[in-house]
Amino acid sequence: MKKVKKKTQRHIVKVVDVQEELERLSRVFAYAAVGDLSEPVPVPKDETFAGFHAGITILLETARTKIDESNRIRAEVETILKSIGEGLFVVDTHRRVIMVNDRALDMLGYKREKDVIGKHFEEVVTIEEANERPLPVHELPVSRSLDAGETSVAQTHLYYRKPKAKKRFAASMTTTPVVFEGNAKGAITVFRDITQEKNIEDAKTDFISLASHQLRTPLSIITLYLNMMRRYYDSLSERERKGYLLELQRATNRMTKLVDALLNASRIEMGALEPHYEEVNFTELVQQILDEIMRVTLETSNKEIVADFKSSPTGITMYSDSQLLRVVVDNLISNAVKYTPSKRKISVSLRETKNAIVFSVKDRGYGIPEGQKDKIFSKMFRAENVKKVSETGTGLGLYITKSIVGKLGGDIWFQSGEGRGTTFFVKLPKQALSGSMSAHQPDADQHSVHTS
Amino acid sequence: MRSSLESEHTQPTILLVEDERPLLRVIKTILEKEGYAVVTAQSGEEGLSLMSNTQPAIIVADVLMPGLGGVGMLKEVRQTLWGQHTPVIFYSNLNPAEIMPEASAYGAVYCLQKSDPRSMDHLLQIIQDELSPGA
Repeated sequence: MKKVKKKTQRHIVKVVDVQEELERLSRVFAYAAVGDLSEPVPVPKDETFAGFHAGITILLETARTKIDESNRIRAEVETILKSIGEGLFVVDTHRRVIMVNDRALDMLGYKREKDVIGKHFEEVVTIEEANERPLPVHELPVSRSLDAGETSVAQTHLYYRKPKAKKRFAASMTTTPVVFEGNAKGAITVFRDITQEKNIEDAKTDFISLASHQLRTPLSIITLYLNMMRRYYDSLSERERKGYLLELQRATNRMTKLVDALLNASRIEMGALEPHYEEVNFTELVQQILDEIMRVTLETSNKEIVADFKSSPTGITMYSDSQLLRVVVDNLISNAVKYTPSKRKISVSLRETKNAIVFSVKDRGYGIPEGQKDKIFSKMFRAENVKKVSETGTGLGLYITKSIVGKLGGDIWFQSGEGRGTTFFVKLPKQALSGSMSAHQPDADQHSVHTS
Repeated sequence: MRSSLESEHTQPTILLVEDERPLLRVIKTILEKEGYAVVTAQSGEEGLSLMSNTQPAIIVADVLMPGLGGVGMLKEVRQTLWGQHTPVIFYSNLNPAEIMPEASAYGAVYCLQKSDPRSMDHLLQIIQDELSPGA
């Protein structure tokens, strides 16, 4: 009995002490309640509480370590996610953006995270279908991931639009739901700009469609003329045979030109057209090409064209890419001959000014119609008036010529009046023979893709 | 090859519609060497305008031509009194599979691809079969 009484007495005393001790600790608890676990635990008044204080200290320390560790892991995960080279969005179940990386902000034209965080996905970015119709909210990949809880990856070619800049780009996008314990807790969208890939893809498609339609014509001509000659060879007169061989020659020339044009156009599209600089005798090059074109014209058509060529001074040498220059000169002179009626004259000139070399080709042909002048360098464009004159033509020649002149650092322009003829001018910068080598050395990798 | 006697007596007329001049020339030459009379046109419109005067036994036509193409011309031909049953052979650069779905709705249509090395044999065979008395 006595023993029990003594125990109760001690207990009462301790309650008072505990209350006092707890009050001393209240500050620590108050800080802990708002997440600050760094407030030091005061030294106990009575040694009896030493264990209690030590326990709280250990508890706080453990909690602190755990929180620090979890913060560190979270920061690491966030850093990893944000360092992904592709654009990243994480949305919650209400499609509100809860995380975005710098790459995504950059691609969509936002400066700060807070311009995006907390906003609905569709406010931040517009996704368009190929027909430029914006996708309605319920069709957005994030909505589908959230609503259907699809764990599959949805990948598609879409257009993102910077809301203010109205800039669009082709993007490849993958959206996956974030599933936790069987429920969708949000969705992650990863996307990247595929403009370059798309350009290359489009170039390939154009190439295939042009190739399949335009290449087949000379092939058909060759096939049918050969077929006919084999079938009736013995009954053909010498004159007929010569005439048919000429048709075969024309078709072969046409095909060669077409293949060259297609290859050049596709190189331009894929950014693989890089000049290789060397010393070129421009005057000689023009003379050679002019002679060749006049010879072929005389042999394969019944057109009589007179051409004159003036080079001032007579031997102009420059640093350039002779293969590319050849394409430019050939295209412009060939066009002039092609679109000038028989018995008329074309004038080719080359002159050196203080800083540049100007090459020009003047024809007395059909001229470019006023309303179509701005389209003349566009890919696969042919003016209406010449389509009636000649059914052959890819609409690639001037497009290729302009692209090459641009690559060589020059300018191209023209003066034209419908029915009066056209003069094309090409101005190429004159470079010091030694200096230009280093200034314009092409990349070692001929097929590197340029994003210009 | 048809006998000269037969061709002298019958000489069925073929309307050839082709916008590429070298192709027009070579197909015309072959058909003439086989004993047919050939009337040529360089567009679908021109082909149509020649229909009433020539009343061809067969039409051989390209498909891709400026203006009214081959298929457009076929639709118009079927509207005319004399062209409802005229056999039409599309002789083009396209693969027959690209033309047939649309063209086959207009009856008695054949498709041949020019670049096919055997296409000329096929063309002549089809013409011969179509023009033989039992056809």
